[in-house]
Amino acid sequence: MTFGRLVWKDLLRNPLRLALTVLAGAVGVMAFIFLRTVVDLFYSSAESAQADRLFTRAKASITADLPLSYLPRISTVPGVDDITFYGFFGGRYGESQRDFFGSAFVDPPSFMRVFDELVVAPQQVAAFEADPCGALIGKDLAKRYGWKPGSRVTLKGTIYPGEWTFNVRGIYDVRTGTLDTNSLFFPFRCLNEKLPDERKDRVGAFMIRVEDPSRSAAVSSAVDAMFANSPYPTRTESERAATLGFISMLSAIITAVQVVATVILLIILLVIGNTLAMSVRERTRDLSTLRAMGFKRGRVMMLVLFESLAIGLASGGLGVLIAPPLVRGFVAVVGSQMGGLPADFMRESTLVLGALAAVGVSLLAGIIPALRAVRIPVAEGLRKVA
Amino acid sequence: MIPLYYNTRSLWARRVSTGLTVLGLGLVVFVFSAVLMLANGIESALASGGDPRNVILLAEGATSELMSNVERDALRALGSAPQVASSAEGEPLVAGELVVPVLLPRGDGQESNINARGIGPESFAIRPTVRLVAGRAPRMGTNEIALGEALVGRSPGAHLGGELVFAEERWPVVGVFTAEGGAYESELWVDVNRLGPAFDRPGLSAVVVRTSSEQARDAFIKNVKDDPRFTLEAKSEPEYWAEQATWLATFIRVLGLFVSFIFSVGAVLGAMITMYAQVAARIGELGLLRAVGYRRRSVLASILIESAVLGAAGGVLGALGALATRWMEIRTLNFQTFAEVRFGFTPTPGIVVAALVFGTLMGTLGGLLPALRASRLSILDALRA
Amino acid sequence: MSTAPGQEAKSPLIRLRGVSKAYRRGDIVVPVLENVDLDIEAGTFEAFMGPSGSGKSTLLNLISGLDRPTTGVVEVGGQDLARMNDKELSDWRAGHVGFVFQLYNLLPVLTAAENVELPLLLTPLSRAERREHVAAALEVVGLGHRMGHRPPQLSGGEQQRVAIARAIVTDPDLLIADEPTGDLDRKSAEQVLDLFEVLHHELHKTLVMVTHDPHAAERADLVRHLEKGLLQ
Repeated sequence: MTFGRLVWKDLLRNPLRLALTVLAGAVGVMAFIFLRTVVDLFYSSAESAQADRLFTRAKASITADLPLSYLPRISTVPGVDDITFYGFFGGRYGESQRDFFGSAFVDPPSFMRVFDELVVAPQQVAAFEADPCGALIGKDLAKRYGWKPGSRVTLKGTIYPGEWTFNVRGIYDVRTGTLDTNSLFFPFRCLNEKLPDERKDRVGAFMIRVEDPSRSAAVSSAVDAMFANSPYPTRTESERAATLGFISMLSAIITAVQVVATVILLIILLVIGNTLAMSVRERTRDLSTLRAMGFKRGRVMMLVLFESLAIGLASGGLGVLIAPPLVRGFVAVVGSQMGGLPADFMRESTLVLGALAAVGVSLLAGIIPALRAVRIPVAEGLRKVA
Repeated sequence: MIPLYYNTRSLWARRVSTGLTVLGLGLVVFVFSAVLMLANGIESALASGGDPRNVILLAEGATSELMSNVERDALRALGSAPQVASSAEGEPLVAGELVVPVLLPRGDGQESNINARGIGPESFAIRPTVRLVAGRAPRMGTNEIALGEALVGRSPGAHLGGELVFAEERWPVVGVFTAEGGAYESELWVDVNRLGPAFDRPGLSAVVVRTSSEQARDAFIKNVKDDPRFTLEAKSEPEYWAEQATWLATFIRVLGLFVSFIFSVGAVLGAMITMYAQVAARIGELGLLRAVGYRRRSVLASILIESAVLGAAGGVLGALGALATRWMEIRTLNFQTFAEVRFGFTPTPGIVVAALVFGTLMGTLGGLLPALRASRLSILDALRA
Repeated sequence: MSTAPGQEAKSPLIRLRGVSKAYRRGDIVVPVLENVDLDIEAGTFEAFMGPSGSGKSTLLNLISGLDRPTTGVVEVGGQDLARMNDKELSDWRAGHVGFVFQLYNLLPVLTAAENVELPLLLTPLSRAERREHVAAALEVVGLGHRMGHRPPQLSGGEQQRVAIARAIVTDPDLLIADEPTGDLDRKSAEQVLDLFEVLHHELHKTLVMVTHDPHAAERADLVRHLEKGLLQ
């Protein structure tokens, strides 16, 4: 029998206990991955924000408007390659919370140019640009309500009172980026014409594409400087900065989730540590026998650490396998309660992190039992009854 | 029938194992209780912003003051309704208010959206839960503001005697108020006739009315609904605020319970491992008990009770830990109102009981299989072991 | 003179007829006892001796209700143990047998008094009554002053004496001892055997003992030898 075989047989000493420990570890890894994914979800929008887009809105308040007349003026700022605008419409579809989805007015041609991550069939683009009250809807939204080109959608206005009907002209998907596939976009014209004079020609924000992303800061300052002394000063920042700013308002929740993820690792540590402690207690006599025969301390410690490593690998592997369906399940459950959420979303790096955490925690859990196993004097260890 | 002290002392005899398991169970119970307390905290924070005799009127279809636009001329008509109570000076208790989120710098370098509420002269009187604790109410016709207590210190200048700067104007802080933990405590209040023009908003978000009694309130709501002049939605303040909390509270509950459920599986497995070990270590003792005449089911019950005790200990530990969070405060963005809210962990007796039950249940579940094994042992093999 | 059925003067407490016991190891069947007939009178002190594997412990297990025969009748005090199910056997043992084991089998987390009390918890006695019985039993074995100590704090001999106290506390008909002196030094063994004599002569208990120890066997009224499952 080789050392390797000894190690393997030793591991299988108590298969039930081993299985339960691996299972508990796997559950922990799964929960850890799940929570990290939730955090990733928050940050994903920032990370995939386009580097070459800037976001200009009213400095005073997030709900304040800007005059449409700013658009040609912003175009003259050096470094500005293209520009579009949009405004949050806030229409309601059904009665309950679940039926809420985002709706906004846009200028179709420039919108399609600046938001080039949108993927829409060309004939649908043409139809959208041609119909004054046409609508472009996200693919998840279309799936949820079964809408297709030709469907008519009526929204109840909240910010702009009344009932507003749109004709679905196209369905979009996104390649990457900050837009979700649960929104509805329609041309500004459709809304603007029907507004009273004092509310006309006001938009929510401008999206600017810059020629050179490294000059974003300079262009932003230039735009803001242009309107600094006007009645409606602006605040321009890169899309990424804007999203990160938004996320920071949720920082408390994000921190809480991260804390809980750490707590899980602690729980796994405790469960595995418990098992290893029991295991070492049982094996004291056997391990002392090995030492009596001449095995050095280091080798004996390796026996214990090997057990913890095996548990870590098995837990990590199992956890990584179970996590993706679990996350999908959660998104489905939450989505049914609270309106759409971004679909499928698990990062490989998170899975790897989970597996590494499992191995790391297991090894950590094994250190103290391993040390205790070799600390006891050989003669005493030989006398121990399990 | 096997005495309980046998179980407790046996758990104590293997304290390291018992301790680790109780700690693990305790952590799970802690997360579970903390989450429930948090969701509860959000709901109480926001719900306590409402007085049952007050009615808030929004634009039809609007779910939140933020997305609602109400014309000013509705004020007079609404104020003249018979159910509206009067102030000490005989004025109808009605106010037109405008809510605008303002971006203010935070202490940590980031920014938050804070709700600025443009108020009318009667706004303070309409809301008896709102009380000035320092300084005075802002004067109408000036840029003076009163800060909700949660905002004090959150931004440079956010204190009595300080000054906030936004919308290209300066707003001196002349008072601080509390609102029994409700959402108003995270707002700043100022004359609506100064706030509106600063943000180029000629209209209002909502009209708030105080009625003379709860029956009067119901009558008032009904009249508004039936009146063709108004395209407004009326609801009682408590109902409105409860709705504002829904999304965030639900999200936290769902996330938290989902996570707790997963954790609990891990903890039950941990308890199972410990109890299997307990049974294995005491197989001789259990054999003796059977030899002496204790029945299988007494042994089963004994082990189950032992695991229940383990679970209950975890439950107590976790619940105590969770109760300790009541001194913590969280601030985050509430998507529905789009402004920052402050809330804490609010315990209820129900949550504490749930925590204890949850812990005990987890322990007992973990002990089920080991208890079955213990009851099925062959007496002779056990005695020989 | 007519006597009641089954009642004669000195009728045997224990009657075995045609008793066989075999164990199954995998698909091999190992016979341990074959067709044993045995009578043990009430109030006697009997010892079984024999080499390992002779079946003496098995015989003891059958008499004490810890195991059931493959075939045959095991009558103790008029009741056939072979016919009882697990529940009935448990209840029977609680009321009729006291055990003394080679390794004492005390619960280490309980005190001496609590260990002795264990069988009493299966009776309807009140706490005060139980305490009296425990004190009395511990007095008989001479360990009244060590009631509050736990097994790890007692010597081997003392532990065995506590076990004896536990065995007699419910005043059972039958005392079963499996290698009671096997793990004891000479002096402690003598003390235990002296106690057995007291229980036998003064308290008129029926004692059935399995042993390798000739000193122990000496004290018995009757010694039976077993070889390969058969009584000699």
